[in-house]
Amino acid sequence: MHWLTFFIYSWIIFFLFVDWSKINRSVYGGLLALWLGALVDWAGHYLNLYNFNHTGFGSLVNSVLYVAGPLFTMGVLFFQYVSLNRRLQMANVAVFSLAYFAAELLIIRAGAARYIHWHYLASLGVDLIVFTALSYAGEIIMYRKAKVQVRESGGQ
Amino acid sequence: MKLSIYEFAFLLLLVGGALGVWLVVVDRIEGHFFKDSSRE
Repeated sequence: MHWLTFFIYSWIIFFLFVDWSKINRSVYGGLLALWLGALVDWAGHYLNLYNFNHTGFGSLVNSVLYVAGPLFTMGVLFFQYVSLNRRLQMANVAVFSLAYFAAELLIIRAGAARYIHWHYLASLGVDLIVFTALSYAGEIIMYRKAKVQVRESGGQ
Repeated sequence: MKLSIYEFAFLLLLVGGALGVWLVVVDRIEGHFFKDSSRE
């Protein structure tokens, strides 16, 4: 039930804030976050660092709910809100990382996942690295055309 | 202490709400949704 709750909340936030006019580009953020998150979690499971508990719907369904819920939706929203303002983008990375970190703490405290050879601060570090990488990719995908137009109009 | 599903749902709602507030703040700064149409 924990993973289902996480999934439902993610999609509610997504539908409240998504800008459908940008979805053709911001969807790549969701796909990239989905791929990165799935890769990190596969490595985490494979290396026995942490695991999702087999409660509720089973570990496979739990993994799908996680990947298709918070990973995909927050990836799309993160790309949508990528800013060319450096300070605002730093704050964006910090807020998304802290939100993920807080959600993970709740998942652990609720018993829906379990750390084996892992630590909270390692998660925070991974979150910061992933969102920093996503903001770099997001800037290229979301603002490439706008930047080219600025250069062509003479504003270097 | 292990969180119950209700405690978990409530606390996760707070986290989601905080993220939502942040997105509204970014909207106000960047003007994703609340564009001033009189400027266009």
